[in-house]
Amino acid sequence: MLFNSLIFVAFAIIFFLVSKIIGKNVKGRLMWLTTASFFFYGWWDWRFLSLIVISGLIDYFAALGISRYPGRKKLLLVLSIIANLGSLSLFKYSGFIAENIDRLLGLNGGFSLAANIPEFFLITPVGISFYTFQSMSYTFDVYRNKLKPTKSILQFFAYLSMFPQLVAGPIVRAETMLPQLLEVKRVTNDKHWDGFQLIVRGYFKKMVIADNLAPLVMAAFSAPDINSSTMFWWGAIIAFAFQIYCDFAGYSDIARGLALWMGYDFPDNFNHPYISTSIREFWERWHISLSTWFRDYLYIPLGGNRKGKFRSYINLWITMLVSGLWHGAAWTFVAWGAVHAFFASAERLTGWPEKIGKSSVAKFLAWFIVSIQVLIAWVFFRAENINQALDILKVMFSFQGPFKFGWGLDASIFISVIILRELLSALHLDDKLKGKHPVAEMVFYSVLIAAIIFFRGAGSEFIYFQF
Amino acid sequence: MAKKPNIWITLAIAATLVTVLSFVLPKDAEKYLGELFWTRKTFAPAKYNVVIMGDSRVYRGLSPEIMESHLPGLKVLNFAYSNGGLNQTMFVAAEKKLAQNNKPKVIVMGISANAISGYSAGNQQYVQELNRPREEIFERIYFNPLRYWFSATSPEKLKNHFSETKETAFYRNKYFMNGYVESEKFPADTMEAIPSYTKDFTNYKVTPENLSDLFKQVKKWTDSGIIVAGFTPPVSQSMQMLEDTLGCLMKQ
Repeated sequence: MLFNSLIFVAFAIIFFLVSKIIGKNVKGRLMWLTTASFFFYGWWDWRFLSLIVISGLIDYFAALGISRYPGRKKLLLVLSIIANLGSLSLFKYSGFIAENIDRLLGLNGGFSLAANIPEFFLITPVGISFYTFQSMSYTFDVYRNKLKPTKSILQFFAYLSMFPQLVAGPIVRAETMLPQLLEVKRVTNDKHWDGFQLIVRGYFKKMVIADNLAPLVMAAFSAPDINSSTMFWWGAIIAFAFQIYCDFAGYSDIARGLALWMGYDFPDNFNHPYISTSIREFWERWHISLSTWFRDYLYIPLGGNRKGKFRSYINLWITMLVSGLWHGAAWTFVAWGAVHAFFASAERLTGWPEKIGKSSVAKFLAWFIVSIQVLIAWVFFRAENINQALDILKVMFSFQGPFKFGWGLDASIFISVIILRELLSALHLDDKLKGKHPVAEMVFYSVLIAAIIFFRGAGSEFIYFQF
Repeated sequence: MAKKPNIWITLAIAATLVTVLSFVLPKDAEKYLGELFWTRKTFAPAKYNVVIMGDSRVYRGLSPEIMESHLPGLKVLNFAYSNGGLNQTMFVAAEKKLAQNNKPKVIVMGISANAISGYSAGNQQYVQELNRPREEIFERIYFNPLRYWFSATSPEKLKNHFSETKETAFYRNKYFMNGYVESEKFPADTMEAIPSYTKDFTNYKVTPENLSDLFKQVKKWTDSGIIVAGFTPPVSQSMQMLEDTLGCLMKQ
């Protein structure tokens, strides 16, 4: 079920009406939340509900075991990791692994591993990377004594399957969410308004900006021949940068808004990443719940910065490459991770963002350089394959063709709107205006709603569903 | 003056704004009514006395409304599709639309070389409509009238809609929920499609087997009491010649 479908609107209305009837009964709330979440996920394909249940049961019992039998906690953790990563590998990476083994062994002619994978395993269950990581973080935290395991299986499944963030995050940690599920907070009018703002802004980002930029990006990358104009490709990749940002940040905003209406707080997942003046800052602002997950459960356990400079670079590269692979079973995603690792290493090695000074000109220059780096990386992320990415980059730096982005009126307007929004944020003007002009705010959100209705792009899935 | 923003007031302002805009902004009948039209045609109930089969010339050529005015008491459905074939898939589907009452059951076939030959064997459009996900079918049937009223637009479309310049070329369709499409193309060009049809008829010709299958079905229907009528949809002279010669319609 997509947030941007009318079926979801009907589902959400029923969900909140029944929640209102259930009131403060915690057990009833958890039961209803879990049932509704399973229905939400099963609407896409009920067969894959079993994966969430199995993954959840493994971590629920592994965590209880770790707490009860400290002597065997390592074994239980390893078993949980094998089970989780095993199911992830089977459903998300089996085709990719088999194709690469085929290529390595030259098995293309006769027998091929890839051709013999059962069709069922070639379907990537929606959101598998999100709920698997969420489930694993619970076991890790119990293992590291940061969290006491819950005995309530209902509370655990309500946490794991919570529909607003089940299929595309934000990845919510158990230590943040489990206590919230047992509290019955009164949702104040202010919280309702905050949730409403997030939901409307989220729908605007997704349906007006991302969905209207999607056809332009799709046309550029799926054309049989690479366009030979430098500016065309810069235009296409800028459009993609805003498409993926608005698509994903839009989803996160809607999820956070729905959570607020339910009485829960989800962490912020995006904080205007395109105003960053260093790659490090970009990762502090982009997909925050995933980057902190990798920091806490991969980079730091690998040794982080504690084992010397050289090891810290190795750890950085491992984390970035795994992060790339998390996004999808393709070398383009690994390359995207590698490009970020390269720029982040260069930044750490030279310390250039600090060295160029703190004046406005220096900050602008740093922002410009980081934006170019991020755009270069997006080419790998979006390209159909590595060769296409390299061909596009060649054109982007060959300075040829007409001096035109090729956006047309629609894309020019939608990109200008989002740039203006980010600019307001960079200058902290939106914070200054917030809450001071209630009538203007209400009119502003009414206009956004009208824009969502009349300027909605052709409905499409959220990009991050496939991850 | 409100001291704090209120969701209900905001929704009321939004509703007013959206209602006003829905009267001012252009509507996209091609998309929303077109989608609704094909879904309703495909999933039409079994309540018709006359079911018309054939390809795009048939759904653009026969108006059930006009036929019903000449056939009082009978209900007519135009069940033709783009690349709609006169083959087993469509025979079975068309028969299912006939009402089980005491009135006559009639099948009308628009006979063209394309509809009989292997060209339309896949019934691409019909199969595509039939296999749409249930969610999409549900949304099309129940939400598309609403979506049409609040049609999506874009700055570019608005610029064109409100600008003074007159359209120099257009292709407009008006969808009737009884299966008929009223089409208007400007400028009309009877030769435009000839090259692509020439290619199609080179690859797909009417064969004796095609006709034999058709006659067998006609016999089966007439034996079971269904009245079967056939006609050749009118076309331009050049198209007629192409169909008869290269398409082998006349030869067979």
